[in-house]
Amino acid sequence: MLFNSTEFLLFFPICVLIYFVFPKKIRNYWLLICSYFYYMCWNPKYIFLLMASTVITYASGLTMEWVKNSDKDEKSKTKLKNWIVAISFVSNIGILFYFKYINFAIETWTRIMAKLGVTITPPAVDVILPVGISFYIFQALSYTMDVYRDEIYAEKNILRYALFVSFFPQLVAGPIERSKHLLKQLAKPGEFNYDNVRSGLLTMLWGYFLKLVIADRCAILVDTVYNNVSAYFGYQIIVASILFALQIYCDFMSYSTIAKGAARVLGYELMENFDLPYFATSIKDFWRRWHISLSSWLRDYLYIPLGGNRKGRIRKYINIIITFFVSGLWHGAAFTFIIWGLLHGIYQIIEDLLKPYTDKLLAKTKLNPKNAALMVLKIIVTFILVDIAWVFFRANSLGEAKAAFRNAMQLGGLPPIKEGLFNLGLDQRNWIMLGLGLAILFVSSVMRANKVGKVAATVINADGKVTTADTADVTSSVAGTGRDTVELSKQGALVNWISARFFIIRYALYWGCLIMIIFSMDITGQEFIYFQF
Amino acid sequence: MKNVLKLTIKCILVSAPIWALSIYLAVAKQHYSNEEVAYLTWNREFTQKHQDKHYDVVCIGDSACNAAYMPEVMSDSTINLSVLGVSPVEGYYILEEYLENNDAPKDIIMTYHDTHFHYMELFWDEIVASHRFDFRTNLKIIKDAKEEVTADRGYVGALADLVAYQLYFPSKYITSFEKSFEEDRKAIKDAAIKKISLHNGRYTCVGNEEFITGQFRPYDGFYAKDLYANYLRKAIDLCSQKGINVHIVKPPLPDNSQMSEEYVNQINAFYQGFVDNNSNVTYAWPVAMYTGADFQDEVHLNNDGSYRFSTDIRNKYYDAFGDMTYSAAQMHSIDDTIAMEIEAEDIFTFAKDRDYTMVLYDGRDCIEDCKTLLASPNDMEITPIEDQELPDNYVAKMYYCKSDKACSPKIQVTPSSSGAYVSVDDGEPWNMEFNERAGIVAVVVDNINKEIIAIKNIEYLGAEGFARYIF
Repeated sequence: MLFNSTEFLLFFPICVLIYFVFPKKIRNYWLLICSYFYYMCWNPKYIFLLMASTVITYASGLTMEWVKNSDKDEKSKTKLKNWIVAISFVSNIGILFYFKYINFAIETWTRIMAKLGVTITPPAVDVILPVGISFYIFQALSYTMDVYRDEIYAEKNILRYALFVSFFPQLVAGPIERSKHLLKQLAKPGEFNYDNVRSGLLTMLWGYFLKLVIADRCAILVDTVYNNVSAYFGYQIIVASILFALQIYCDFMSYSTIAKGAARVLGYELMENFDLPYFATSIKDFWRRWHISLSSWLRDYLYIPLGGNRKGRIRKYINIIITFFVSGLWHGAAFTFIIWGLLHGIYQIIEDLLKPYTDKLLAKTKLNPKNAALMVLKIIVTFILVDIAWVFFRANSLGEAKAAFRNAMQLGGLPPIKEGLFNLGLDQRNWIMLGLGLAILFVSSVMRANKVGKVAATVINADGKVTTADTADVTSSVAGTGRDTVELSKQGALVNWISARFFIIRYALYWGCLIMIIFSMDITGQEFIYFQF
Repeated sequence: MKNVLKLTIKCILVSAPIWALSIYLAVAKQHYSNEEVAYLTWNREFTQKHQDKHYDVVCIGDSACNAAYMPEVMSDSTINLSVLGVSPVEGYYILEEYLENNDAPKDIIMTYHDTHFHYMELFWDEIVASHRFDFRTNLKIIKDAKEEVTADRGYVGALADLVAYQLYFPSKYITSFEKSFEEDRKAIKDAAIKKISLHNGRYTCVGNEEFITGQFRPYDGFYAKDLYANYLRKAIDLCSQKGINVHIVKPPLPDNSQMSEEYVNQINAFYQGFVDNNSNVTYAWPVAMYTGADFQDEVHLNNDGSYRFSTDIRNKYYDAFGDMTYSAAQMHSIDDTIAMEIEAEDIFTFAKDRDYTMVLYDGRDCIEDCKTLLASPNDMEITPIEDQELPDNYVAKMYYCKSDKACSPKIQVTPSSSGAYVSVDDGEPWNMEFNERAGIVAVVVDNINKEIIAIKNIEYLGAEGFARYIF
């Protein structure tokens, strides 16, 4: 069930209505039923994988808690906990490996053996990649790690824990939530809150705008070029690559935005997954802004345990490479994804190596590091580097990625840009719609970067209750009120700005947005890219 | 509660463009929906209403069936209720609907192409999208057919899609809606309704396009899925209960088809099974192949092929169709077919057995060739025009052409500056322009309806006779 499918448009209101009609005590059970139903709509039998991952990590949490509270000595406790974590990781990663990587591993092994002159004919493994498996397994594992590190108590209520792993808004494409954040909220069932529901619905609307108006339109051109890359040259490849960067951003961000909105309607707050990644001024900065839930997961549960930057420069670089290799592999069982990940790792190492020199250069030229022109230049350079890596991500094979680079260099003999662009799948009307959509996205991004409009704040109280408030309220009252977590949601800058307008302008903007969505419905059917991961 | 109400009102207001468009889509179908929807709407309205006229023969099937049978050629009491894209599943419900509202016909001809014994997306794109059936029937089909119609969207997805179509959700109709800005869909729809009414339900491949290909299409085997076979059986059972004879007919395929023996045996065995188990069923595959010139594509017969096949079927099931006397309505249908005909010889073929008179102008002294090559082979006679007051130069060049089945209405021919005016029964005159390129200019007159239906220019090529195509 995709967020942009008819089923979801019927499922969600029914789910929400019944959710709020039910007494608070059973609301979360209803959500669990809905979440399992949501997952089963794709393929009912794969619900067992979700359940298996839930049970394994739930049991590992409880067992670790039991070990912690037992009267064994510390050494034995640690040893036992290590074993429990290992079992949890091996079984979860085992599931992930079998369903996502087994054929890739067999194929790679066959190729390596063939290079060595040994011909083997391995049996083909007929598996379908279960939707969202990479997301929920990582989410469940983060819980195991958090209990292991004593950052949270083990959850005793298995149904609540099952809801944490399967919470439908973020089940199949993230954000990969942390137990400290979501599980804590689930302790208290969401309440009907006019502002939350309103803000959630508007957030969802913005998500649909990103998906239907921008991402799916970009996809038409990108698919035309990248599905027959040898037939396109010069600016055609360049335009397709730039549009892919925008497509994947809007596509993935739209999913996260709709997920966030849907969760907010239900009274829960999901973490931010994006923070204007194409406004990043370096690759390191990019990874602080792109797919935040995954990059922070990899940082907390892989990079830091590997030693992070604490064990010398060489080790740090090795850790970076390992982390980005895993990141690439997480995205897909193909060398294109691995190269994409490694390229980002290499970018970061080069950036780190060059940093002393760039700092010196800045000092010599007495240029203000916050200089606007310099910032814009950095943004452009970062975008180009990111976009080069995206070519590997999008290409159907390494050979096609190479062909894309080669053909992009061939600038002669092409039709004039004005004519040529219309031959890539988008007609004039679609170009205008895309341009308008991108302009709105740009304005919204600039507003967000400059924190224009009232910035909404999500407040998670000590008891897990979620409310929204203005920033001013929060900063002035956070002390002494028992509120222990404050997240500033910059995401809603445009929504908040619109909300503050006179109602005629407000409705004109809502309707304008909705009409653009309606007139983009004929090009839907595009799945969310991150569904495949 | 106040907040819930406030929120509900705001939701309704914000989403107003969606509701407004849905309402428009529901009430103004004729302004945005395509030609195909017009046909399906006609079909639905026909089967859901009691028809004053009783039909002895009803054709049920898919687009191959729709293209194959020309009711006007078969009998005045034949109706073609087949629909593009339907399988025996939907065919059963169309038949059931017709029988619920109308007296049972004597005979039913059932024809389905092999592809409709497997799932095709057309159930959604055509049947559901056009609201051919009501919600309950669609639901019944989805429940019965299960994975056959829900394969790529899942059962829940199928139900959701059905609701969305039922509520005219914009995502389902936005393409049609957008296209309606580019063309006058109301006019197209009106023309389509006129056409389908005129041809008693036949609308697929009405025209003269020919199928030309250099590729062979293999037919290696026939493996019908149980669901479709069961529904065909259900339809036959329904006919048995009503005392209706069922004729399962397989129309010809184009001559690029390569049918294996196994395929032919499987087809025959499959259909013969129904004959063996039901006394009211016959099965025929009268001819395996026609030439590509009789087809519009790999499956559908064009006007020429349909005329040929319908004539064959009429002769084969003569008892079902009875004596052939052409009604005014039938003649109107054939008039339309002649009007769109582009082959010289076929105009004479259509006219030969019916009450038509042609007024001919011989522009290049080729009347003898016209007699030999076009008229005589079709049992038509050419005679000089002697009953009109015309100058000598006209008398020498103008002729009547008709068969012995034709009567003579009051035709007036008077000279005009560019040729001659021809009118029937003091009706609106048509200007028959004499032009140098045409050997023969023919005005075709429908004697029963007393109407001129077309003027055809037939090019004369001297020793090579007449050009195949008129201009």
